[in-house]
Parts: sequence; C-alpha cells; structure tokens
Amino acid sequence: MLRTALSRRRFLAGLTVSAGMLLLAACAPSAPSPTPTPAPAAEKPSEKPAQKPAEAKPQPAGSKIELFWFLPLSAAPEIKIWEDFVKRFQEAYPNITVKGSYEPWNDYWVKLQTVMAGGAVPDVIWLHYTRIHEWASKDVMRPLDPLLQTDKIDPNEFVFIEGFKYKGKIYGLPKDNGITALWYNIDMYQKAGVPLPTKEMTWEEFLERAKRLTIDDKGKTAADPDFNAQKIVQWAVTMVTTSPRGEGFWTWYKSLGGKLYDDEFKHCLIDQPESIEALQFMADFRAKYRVAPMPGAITEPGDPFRIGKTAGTRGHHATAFFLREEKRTFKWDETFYPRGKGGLVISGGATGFAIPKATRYPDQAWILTKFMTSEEQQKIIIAQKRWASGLRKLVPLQYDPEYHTPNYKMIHVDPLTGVGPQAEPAPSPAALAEIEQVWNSAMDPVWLGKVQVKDVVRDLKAQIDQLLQRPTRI
Amino acid sequence: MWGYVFISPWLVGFVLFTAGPMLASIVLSLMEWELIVPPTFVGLGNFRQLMADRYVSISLYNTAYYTFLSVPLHLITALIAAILMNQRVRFISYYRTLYYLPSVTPAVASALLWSFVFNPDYGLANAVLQMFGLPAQGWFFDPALAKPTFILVSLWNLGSAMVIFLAGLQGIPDTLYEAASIDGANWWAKFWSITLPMLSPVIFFNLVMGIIASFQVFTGAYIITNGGPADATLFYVLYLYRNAFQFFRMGYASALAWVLFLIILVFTLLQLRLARRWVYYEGELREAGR
Amino acid sequence: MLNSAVRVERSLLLRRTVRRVVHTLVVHALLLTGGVILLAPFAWLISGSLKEPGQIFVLPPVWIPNPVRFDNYPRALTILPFHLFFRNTMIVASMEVLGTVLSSTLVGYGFARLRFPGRNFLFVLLLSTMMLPWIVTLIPRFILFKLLGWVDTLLPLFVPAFFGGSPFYIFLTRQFFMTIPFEIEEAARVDGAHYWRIWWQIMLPLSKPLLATIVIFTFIHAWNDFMGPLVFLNSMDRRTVALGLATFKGLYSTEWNLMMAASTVATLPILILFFFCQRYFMRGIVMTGLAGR
Repeated sequence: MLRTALSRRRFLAGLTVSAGMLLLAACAPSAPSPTPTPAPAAEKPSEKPAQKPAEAKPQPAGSKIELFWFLPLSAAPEIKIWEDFVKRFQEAYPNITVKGSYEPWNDYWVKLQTVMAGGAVPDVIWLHYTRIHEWASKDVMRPLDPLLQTDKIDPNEFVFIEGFKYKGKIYGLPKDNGITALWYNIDMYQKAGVPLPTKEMTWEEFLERAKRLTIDDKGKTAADPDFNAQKIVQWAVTMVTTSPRGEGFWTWYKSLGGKLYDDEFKHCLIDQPESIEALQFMADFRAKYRVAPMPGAITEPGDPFRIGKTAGTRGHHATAFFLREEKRTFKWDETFYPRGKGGLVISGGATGFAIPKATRYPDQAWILTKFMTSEEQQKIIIAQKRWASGLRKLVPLQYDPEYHTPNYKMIHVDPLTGVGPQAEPAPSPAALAEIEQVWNSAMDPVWLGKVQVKDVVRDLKAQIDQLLQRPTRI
Repeated sequence: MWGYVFISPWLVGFVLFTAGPMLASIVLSLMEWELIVPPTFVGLGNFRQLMADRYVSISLYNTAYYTFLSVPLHLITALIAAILMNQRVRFISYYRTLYYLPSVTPAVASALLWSFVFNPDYGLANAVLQMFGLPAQGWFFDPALAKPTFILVSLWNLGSAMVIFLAGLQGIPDTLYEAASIDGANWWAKFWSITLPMLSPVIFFNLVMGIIASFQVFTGAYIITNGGPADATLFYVLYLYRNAFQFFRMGYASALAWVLFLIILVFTLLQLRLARRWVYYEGELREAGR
Repeated sequence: MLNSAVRVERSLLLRRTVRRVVHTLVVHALLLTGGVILLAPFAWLISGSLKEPGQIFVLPPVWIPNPVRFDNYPRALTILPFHLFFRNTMIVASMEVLGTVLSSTLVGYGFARLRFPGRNFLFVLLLSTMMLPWIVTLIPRFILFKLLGWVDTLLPLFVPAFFGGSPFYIFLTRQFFMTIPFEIEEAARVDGAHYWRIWWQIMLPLSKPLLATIVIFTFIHAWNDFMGPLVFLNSMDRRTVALGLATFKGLYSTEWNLMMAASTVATLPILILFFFCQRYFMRGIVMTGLAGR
C-alpha cells in the first residue's frame, strides 16, 4: 500500500508539473485576442454620408485597424489562396490587418450565427446567393448600392448581381460564379449506340436516350420490357436535386415549365398544372423510368458519374476540374440542360462578400471587399480552374481550350457575357430554409414513387404560402 | 459538511459555467430570437406553438422509437462483448483494442463511412446481401428501414459501454465465483446470481446514460439523412437544431430543449426510483433508519 | 484397482482439457467474427488513405490500393499545420484528463460516501445538466467565455474539466465507489484517517479500472471534440486536430484520401493510449485484501 501510494503520488506530481508547464505554454502565446467590443445588433450604426472612404473615419496617422473576416473555406489550397490575398491587401493598405477564421461550409453557418449572436460581429462574411434574402430581410446586412455608386462601380460588372438583391438593394458582391450544365460520358454513349446529347435536345428525347443508357446486370436497358429495375448497374444520369434551393433544381424545374413563386414572393405556384406536370416528370424520371439513381442515395461519397456508374450528371464548371484531378480516362463533354415546356433555361449562382451592419469599421470592410473582388485577385482565382470569376469581364478568361471542351464557352462564358440567352439565378425567398423542410416532408414520398404529385401539392402550396407571407423586418 | 467540500469543484463549476447558460436558455424559451437580431419577449407563445407543431410529435415518436429499441440492444451487446473481453485468452488486449476502435473514430467520420456502406445503389451492405441472394434494401433511404439502420449502426459503437462493463466485471472478486463453483453452480447460475447483481450499479449507469444520450441522438441523422426520408429519421434534437441554426428560431429551439429536458428528467427519476428494487451496492450509504 | 483409478483420472483430465480447448476456440471464434465486423470500416479507412482520389469510391470496392500513395500521409499532414493541431489537442486533452480525473473522483466520492443535506437533490441536479441539448447552451456559453476574454484560446476547452468535469464521470465514479464495501473505509476511519486520505489512499487505488476508463474516455472526447473548438477557436495556430480533419471537406468536394490519411494518424494516439491503459483492467486486484469474508 505504501509503495503504491508513493509511486502514485510521484506519478501524479509529475503529471501536475508537466501539466503546469503545458498550461503555461497554452497561455503564453495567447496574444490578447481581437474580440471586438460587442456592437449590439440593435444599435443602428450611424449611416455615414457618402464620402470618400478614406476620409470617413478620422484616422490619426499610423493607427492600425484590425478587420475580422469569416469565410467558409476549408480545403487547404483555398485557404492558402485567400491568405495570400490578405498579404497583398495588407501590403496595399498598411494600416489595416485582416484576421481570418475559416470553416467548412456547413459548420460555417453554425459558427457565424453563434458568433454574431454572441456579439462578436465579423467585418466581412460570405453569403451564398440563396441566403441573401434570408439575411437581408433581418435588417442586419449593409446595402452596398450607395458604396458602389460613390466609387463609381457599375453593379453589372458583377455576374448574377440580381441574385444578390433584396427588395431592389444589393447586399453582396460575387467572388465566383457557377452555371449548371449537363455532363456526359462519351464512351458510355458510344458503347450503347446512343446519339450524344445536343444543345437543342428536349426532355422527351433525352428520356428516350436515357432509357437506353440505363442497364441492368443482365445487360437489358430500361427500354426493354424485361428490364430488372432492382439490379441496375448503370444509370443514364445523376439528377440529385429534390428541394428548391439553388440552380440545380431551378434549371430542371423551369425548363419543364414549372413555376415556383410569383414576382413578389408572396404566393407559391406549384399548384398550377404546368408545375404539377413538371414535378411529376421529375419524380417519374427517377422512380418510374429509373434512369437516374433515387434521390438521397447520392450522399457525400462522390458523384457516381465520376466513377463511371452513370453516363451523365449535372454540375458546374468544377466538374471538369474534378474529372481532371481524379485522372478520369473516359471522354466527356457538357451541354445545356434539355428543353421542355419552359424552353432553354440557363441558371447559376454565386457566393459573395457581404458586410454586416454592425461592423465597427464599415469603410475598411468595404475597402477589403472591393479589393478581394477586384481584377487582380479574380484572375488568380480563375487560374486555379476550380473556381470561376465574379467579374463579368474576366469570365472569358475562364475558358482554356487545352483544359475544357469547346462547349465550355457556350455554357459558362456566353450566358454571362451577353452572347445568346443569358443565365439567371434561382429565386430564393427569405423563408427558404423552412420551405425546404415542408417541401421535403411532402415530396419525399413522391420522389420515392409512392404518391402522386397532385395529391400533395395543394397542401404543400398552402404551407409554403404561409411561410412566404410571414412578415419580415424589412 | 465535508460532503459539500468534496462536491465543491462541481458546485462551483456548475454556478460558473453551467447554471448561467441553463438559466439563459430558460429565459430564451420565452423569447423569439432570430440570433443575429436582438430577442423579443413572447411569453408562453413558443410552448403553445410547440403543442400544435406536427414536427414535434413526429420527432418525439422517432426519438422514442430509437431510444427504446437501441438502448436495450446496446446494453445486451455491450455486456456480451465485455464478458468476452474478460476472458483470459491470449491476445485479449488486442481484441479489446479492436472492439474499442469504433468508439475512437470521430462521429462525423464514421457517419460518412456508414453512409457509404449502406448506400442503396453501390454500398457494401447491399453487395453482401446480394451475395446471399437477398434483395437489395434501401437502408437509410427506405422510410421503413431508416430508423432500424440507425439502430444497427449504433451497435457498432458498443466500445464505450463495453469498457464500462469490463471495468465493472473486473471489480467482481474471484472469490465469489470460486465459492459458487464449490457449491456446484453452473455458468448460468453464476451469471445470474453473481455477475448480474454485482454488475447492477454499472448496468444502471449504462442504462441511465444510454437513455439520456439516445433521447439526444443527432449526428448520424444530421449527416446522412437530414431527417429523411419523409421525416422518418427526424429526431427531436435534429428538429431542434434546424430551428436554432437553420430557421433562426433560437427561442423556439430553447423551448423545445426544455420540453425534452422534462421528458428525460421524468424518465431518469423513474429509473432512480426503480433502482432501489434491483440495483445492489456493496457500499451504499443508507439514510438513517432504513 | 490402481490402474482403473489412474485411467478414470486420465479420462477426466482429458475431458477437462478438451473442454478448455473448446472454450478457448469458441471464445476466439466469437471474438474474431465480431472483430472483423468492427474492423472492416476502419480497414477501409486505411485502405482509402493510400489511394488515388479517383479510386476510393468504386464498385466493387478495391481493398488494395494500386498505386499505393504513401505520400498522401505527408501531404495530408503538411497541407495545414497539423503539428500545431496535434500540439494544441495534446494540451487540451492532457489537461482535460488531469482535471477530470482529479475533480470527478473528488465529487463522486462526495456523492457516494458522504452525508449532507440536499445530497439527493444535488445529485439529480447533476444528472439534469446532461439532459439539456448542447445546442441551446452553446451561445450563452460563447457569450460567457467571450466576457472572460477566452475566445481564441484553449481555455474554454479544458478549464471546466477541473470543476468536476462532465457529470458523466461523476456519476460513473459514484457508482463505482458505491460498490466498495464499507469495511475498508471503516477500518481506516478507526485508524483516524480523514476523508482526504481515504479518498486518496483507498478509494483511488482500488479503482484502477475506473480511473483507466476515465482517462481513456476523457482523452477521446477531448481529442474528437468538434463543436467546442469550432466555436471558440479562430486562429489557425490555435486549432485542434478535429477541426483540421474537417478542413478536408472542401467547398465543392471532399479530398477523401487525404482526410482518411489524416484521420488514421489522428486515431493513433488514442489507440496507443487505450492499449496502454487497458493493462489496468486486471482482474482480482480489487478485494484481494478481503479473504475470508
């Protein structure tokens, strides 16, 4: 007993000492953390009269300002790029330092809200265009129109700027863009003897081809009578979207003739006959004709298109990047979504910089935003091939004939640069998150083929109307 | 009096770190708080809304289903595993590490792994089924199978409960078993009359903790199914999370949290009462006069 | 007569040996089957960590990577300062272990053995703190630590561990201590020992499996904790391994092979700790002084 007591005491003593040293190590480098003094969101920051930003805040020479920005970056290569930009920014503006916090996309929102709710409002954040209404309607974001006007920047220099507007005012500046397209595996098409997709193709034509590209384990296609839908080894296309957030859903739905909301976002239009027809086609596409994998089956682990399980998919320009990164050997190309009653629909979106109202340094935040969305930085971003440009005039630079197929220009460049039909963002009301919840509850059985669209759509419309008509702060 | 001294670290910590936030959340449950704007008082409005909210009844049902099925299964599996781990065979330390391995993987990583294994179109599980000529299943994406699949996956995490059972088994003196052998008891009699009673404090612990934890099941559903399909895996805490961080309704989420709190509290108190009947402590402090 | 007796003895011996062999075989068979099921996802994790990005999600699943990309490991660990993440996580985890072991056994002893008014109420209060989902206390806790100035430090992550740690361990300790018979303590009390000495020199040494359990569990919890570091840490040099792993989830896709490599490395310290600790799960150490009861 004595021996164990002694050795245990020694052990614990040693542990305490080392713990103490570790504690010192932990505390020592903690430079006073730059928690901004809480600016309660209730307090309306004095709206600065339109002046040159440099003069707005009287700055004694040499005073340092620290901005805190908060971005959903997680992949290390991305973080390096933006930290590089921060270095350049700090060289250009020696009085301003920028501290950043970077989180993966999903966790970003939790942390952002926690931190803002806790009073530590960042100076610059990113918002996806589908969230602009949500955030702007709470009257916590700064409208950027007066700032653009003062600096004589034409908002149309930015792509998808409509997607960043709420009630006519601009709340974000895009730093990238993404137009969704239909991608396909040329080898699989040729093997099945099916003509390649064209840009004028209709959904009916596509469906017929898709059936011949959906193959079961005995080699029968979905066009054959004895096709075994339980044992599909290859699908024609991956069409995952099920809920009305973003351009993936919007392109498909609108091209089929579907309508979501009226212009004021007060009424939901899914109960109109064209909408019901469109939704039913989308459901049948997967559950009845079985030419696409069932929704929900495609979770994180990679798009089956990229591993050769489907002959097509939808995605934006980064699909090319991943196909090259993963060294896929099959021949591929892309084209517009097929057309339906809604004609040709080209849709995309962007993520943009936004400035919370409660930031302590609105002018410096604006300087930072302008810098990051300026040409120099955007050019570097484009060169990565993974991202596209938020600036309209740089969009043509995205196309690299060595890297992309010729259709790239038709799909990702022209619709943003005034050539042919132009791209539009997907409509995204403020209550989108709650709309998604009721939508999924009602539509999940439809996507599984258990229920018809017309049986759920009236009820769903009523619920969505209620959400749309809820009063907002502004 | 000394009792207070000994529990003082917890008491102080409770006052400093826990009581404040808990009180804050009670206050918040009476508010509507859109997080990035200041809260406004709504009295019992959240609670009234809660009672009419169909998502609350759906999620409570889902959570109860999950809890009352997975906890007993989990306990039994963990106990069997612990008994196996207690055997004196060679390499037992390696086995123990192996069996504990799943608990060591972060929840997010294992959720992703399982979503791949149970992928209805190209996952391992269906490949195995088809090897035996059985039809492929929808697993997480079949409304009827989604919850059972989660329960199945939860069994993989038996490591923690197993370790606690193991520690408990270690505390049972061999002398008891030897005495029983001399009296001619077989393995079942030994198990029933010695192991279980001596282990009951630990079984009680795992039961109480299991129920508290299962009522708060969240991560898997959040990552893999997002509450679907058709709300089959919409667990209560997932619905709470949505309200808090996706719908900007922290006040309502706080009200939801306190309702759950009361439910769990009732179950725990019930167990504490029932415990007197079946839990045996060698060194229990009894109140004077009992 | 002697021969038949010897023969009976020998056949008894044989039967017993057979039974023992069968017993061992059965145990091993069960352990192995379960073990393989449990190991499979982990094996897939390691296999994936050595693959090219395109090879991970293929069907039928490929177990042996070809080509084998050992460089996934150095790449995964240097793309972000993982050495810093490891350091930070080690600090947090060790402190949490130390704090929890000391304070939860103290508090657990109080609840298990000492009489004081309101004990039952306080115990239920203790349990009840585990019944409120973390989501609704996250923001108040953030505000609390912000007021203390601890945001972007490691302090919010381990300081609470010194104040009892999680109620889980207090409850666990209480259950364990209540299985230790009074006689031991009474003997010490008769010798004039104060509660401190009893706690330090009797309860703790008799609870090695409990302590080992607390050490392992606390370490793992601290190591894998995500929400705490997410909300409280900003600077890259303060972050933990759990946050580091999450960074592989890129904006458009996840670099699975690198994430798997990093995850495998991240799991190693825990496994080593466990392997080392479970040595303390030794049978018969408790109660050996009680022969004749």
